Amino acid sequence: MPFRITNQMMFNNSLINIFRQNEDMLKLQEQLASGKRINHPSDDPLGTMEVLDLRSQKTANEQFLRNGTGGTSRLNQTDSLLDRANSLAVRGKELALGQVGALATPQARATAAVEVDQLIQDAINLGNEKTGSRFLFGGQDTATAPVTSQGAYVGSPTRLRMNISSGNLLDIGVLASEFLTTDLNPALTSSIPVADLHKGAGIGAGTFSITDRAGTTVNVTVSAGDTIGNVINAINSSGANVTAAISADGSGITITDNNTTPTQNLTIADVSGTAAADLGIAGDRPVDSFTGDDLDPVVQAGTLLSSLLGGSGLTPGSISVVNGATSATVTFAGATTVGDLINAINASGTNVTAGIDSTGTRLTLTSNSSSTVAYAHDLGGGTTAEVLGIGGGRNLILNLQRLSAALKADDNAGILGAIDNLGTGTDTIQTVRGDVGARTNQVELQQTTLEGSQFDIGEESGQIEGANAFEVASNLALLQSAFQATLRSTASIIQPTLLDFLR
Amino acid sequence: MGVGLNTTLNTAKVAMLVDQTAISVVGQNIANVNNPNFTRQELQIQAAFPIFTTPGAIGTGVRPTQVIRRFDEFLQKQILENQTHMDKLGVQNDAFLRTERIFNESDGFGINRAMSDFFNSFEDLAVTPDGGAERSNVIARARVLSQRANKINSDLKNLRVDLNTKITGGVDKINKLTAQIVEMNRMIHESETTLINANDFRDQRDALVKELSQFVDISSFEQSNNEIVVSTTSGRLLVAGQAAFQLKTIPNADDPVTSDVYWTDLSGNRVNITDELVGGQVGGAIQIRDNELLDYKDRLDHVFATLIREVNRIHAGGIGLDGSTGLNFFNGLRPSSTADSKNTGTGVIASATIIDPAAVSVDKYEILFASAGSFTVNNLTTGQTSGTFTFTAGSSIPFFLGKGIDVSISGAPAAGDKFVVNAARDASMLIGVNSQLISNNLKIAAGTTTHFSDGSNALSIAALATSRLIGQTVNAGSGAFTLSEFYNTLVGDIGTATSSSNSNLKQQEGIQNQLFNRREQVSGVALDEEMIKLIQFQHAFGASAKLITTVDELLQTMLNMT
Repeated sequence: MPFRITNQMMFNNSLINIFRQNEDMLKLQEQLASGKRINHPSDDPLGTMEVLDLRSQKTANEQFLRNGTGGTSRLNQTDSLLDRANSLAVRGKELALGQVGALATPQARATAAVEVDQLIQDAINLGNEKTGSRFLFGGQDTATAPVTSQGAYVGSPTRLRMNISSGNLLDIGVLASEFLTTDLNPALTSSIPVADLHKGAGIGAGTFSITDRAGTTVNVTVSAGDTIGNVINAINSSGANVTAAISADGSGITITDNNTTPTQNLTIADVSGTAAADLGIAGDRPVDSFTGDDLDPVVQAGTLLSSLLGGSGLTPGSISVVNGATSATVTFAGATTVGDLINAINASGTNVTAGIDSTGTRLTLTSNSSSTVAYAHDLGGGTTAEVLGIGGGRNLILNLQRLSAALKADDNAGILGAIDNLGTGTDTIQTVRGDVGARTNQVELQQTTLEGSQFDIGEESGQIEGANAFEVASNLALLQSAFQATLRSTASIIQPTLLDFLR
Repeated sequence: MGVGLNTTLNTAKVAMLVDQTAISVVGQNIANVNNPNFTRQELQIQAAFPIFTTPGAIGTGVRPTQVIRRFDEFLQKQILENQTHMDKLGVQNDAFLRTERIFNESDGFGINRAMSDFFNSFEDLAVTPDGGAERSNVIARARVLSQRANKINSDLKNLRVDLNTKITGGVDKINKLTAQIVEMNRMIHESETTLINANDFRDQRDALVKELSQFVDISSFEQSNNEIVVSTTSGRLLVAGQAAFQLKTIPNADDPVTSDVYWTDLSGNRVNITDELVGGQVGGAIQIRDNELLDYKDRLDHVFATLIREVNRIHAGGIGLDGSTGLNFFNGLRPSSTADSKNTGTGVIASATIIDPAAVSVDKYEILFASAGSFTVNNLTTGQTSGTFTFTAGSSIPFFLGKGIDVSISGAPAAGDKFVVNAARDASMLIGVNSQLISNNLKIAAGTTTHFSDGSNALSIAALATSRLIGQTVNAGSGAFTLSEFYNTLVGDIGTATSSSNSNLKQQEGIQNQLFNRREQVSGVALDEEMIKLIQFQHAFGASAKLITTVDELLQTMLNMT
């Protein structure tokens, strides 16, 4: 018996074929409409994953490009302000050169001093320059003016930074303490009295409780006369299973919980007074270890030289102290504390008094005579006087202040010294500008790389998910003619039956 | 001695009756040409018993024997199996297509983008840590990310609810069908004991069995009393002759959006057979509801639990602009612990709390009791065994304390009892920004100090975007995947599953079509064929009539002779 073809078979097969072709055409139509080959993950699962990974990269790159643009504009703004600082130094030096020597009269010097005073004000204003509402040269302290009216630096010791590509952190700020004034920025040491913390404001005495992560609660009492070492020992011997230490970067106190199976948060709270809050460790934290707030101690006579500059330490080199006609070289042999430095300067026989600035960020150097102006400058390419804030290099404001004082006091030696120090000041500013320029280049180079990779990513994801319009359209045309053929053949197969011929 | 004319007349009469019957069978076939469940019928005939005379046996015409169905039992079994499989694939394909739309990333505004935007907002915050706009943006991006996650979670849940409706509705349908099959069994049994083929009842019963196979995987056989026995392929009786066994759905206590299917035996005992049903719409819906969709949800939860833990860990270690410390960025995780519904002991989870949110393991663990006194912990996320421990009722399990979760089981679990502990469960639903941060965005801890523009903490959070956080031991930072890679793989896997489900369904439809054609070839009605038969019997009828006329004339001739 031959293959029986029944009516249902014919109708069914025709329908299936028509539906299948309709479905294929719909798919092609979707590709043409969206311009994409992948409209659902199932269209190409592997391609979908690749495209998603590429998109994550692309969005991240967009962010880095935005960061870079912001960073470049910040650096450019910084550069033009540094240029202004440079012209202040140059103008100061010009004024000084005009008033040096026997020909200059006290009156002329006093007149010049008025202009120098204006330059000083300009330099301080420059240090407190803002971008939007944020101070530019105060590092992470953008809310408060970083330079005092006396020219001392009270900003943060840390520059602003941002990612210009994945994991590539770049400093985008410059601190006023790099070109207008100085910041000794002592790190925490155990010998520092708690009264010196927070720029000398100290901390409130009192009792705080520590509850370790196993739930043991103990009290620790801090009195006003304690040192950091006392506080750390008190915490470590309190009975709570925690260890306190000075943080690696010397900014604050690190508390580490030693319980292997924590059952609760590590909680430190003041019981009486504000000691824990002032030490920057108060809080309820679900972590094993944390570093408290930056405690910002001031420089005292007992401050160790090794703790200065954020713990990098200062190795003092020889400086020259000049006061009127007298001058002396100070070598600071065997000095270990800031007090040792002060004593060495005071013992130099130049009739000067060295001390610590009221902000605790730099030293002061004053002449004991009202007719002379004392200043210091570095010898042999060192930076000791500059870093200590008693003359030269980065201390543009101080150098101008000394020039003004020397002009007013009619002190020729002081004017000569100021010329020298303003000269090294312009060098410092040029070095900082060079650094800013190098960073700008770095950002721009990174931007170029990122833009290139954005292009590549776009190209690649286009190749993976994009539909080739010509190919899709010609496939669609092919399907269309096949579809018409199907319809025509269906019509001619279904119609005739034997009934048509039986009469 | 010959055959009398009356005998010939009788032969012609019976032949005409047979032709009429044959034409009415043809009529039945033509009438049912478009009935897909109809089986072509044929009148079977045989020669009537001859009369033995000289010169030999003389035929006495034709006798109808029976009306038979042109039916291939073996083919029908294949069709049933295939139908079950196709309906399973159909219901699963629908679910996969919906899942694929739920995880839609092709427009570029899915989780992938929201996650990138979230981490980018922290990059922006790191650049301007004291910026109000940047802080608002962090909150806004985090909320968008949370809402996307919540949406996917609830869409997945709705999909599972819809599948569950399909399951409960399917079980109702199964019960109705089995009752109808019992009725057909009775009718066929009663008809066929009188030796009449109940062809049309059989067609109806076959249609019911076929419809039943659309809902669940079954096997059936016919007993000698012409009744059929139907059972699930796992061997649970659904129909035994004239008795039906009812199924029942009861909501699952641990996963309230789902229902379990129970089978009741003759003595009224309920047995949970949910996992045994693997075919048809019900089996297909159960499989995808309890396997693939749960797996996707678990993996999504794993991504967000990891995100919550890591962001909170870093955020809580920082300091807000207002001096606040220890705050979570996202609402914290809530651990889930469930006892398996098939447990036979009296053990219950007495407590499960997260004690170390910064280091909690977000893997899914199974506690499996080997005996009443000891249990094994299996990590279901990694598929590894974490060890065997001695059980002490009511006390915290040390293994979980080490994973940051305090879990204790009280009562007396029996061997084989299971409990699941999962700190990540429903993380994609729980994720939301800490309301304290929403009401005061100064509390966002961008820094680790009180310096106004300290963005170091924001940088640490932004760095999570490229950290290999998934598949690591807690905080080791050396896992296998970043959050977005893990999520992208999930989307890719859903695509793969959907695409293979699509092609499996297409292939199955092709097979089904072939089987349908083969059934049609045997059992289907071809109109042309029936027309030919009609003409064939019409002519035979005419010939028999002619025979009667001829015999009549012969009789006339004989009568006129006198």
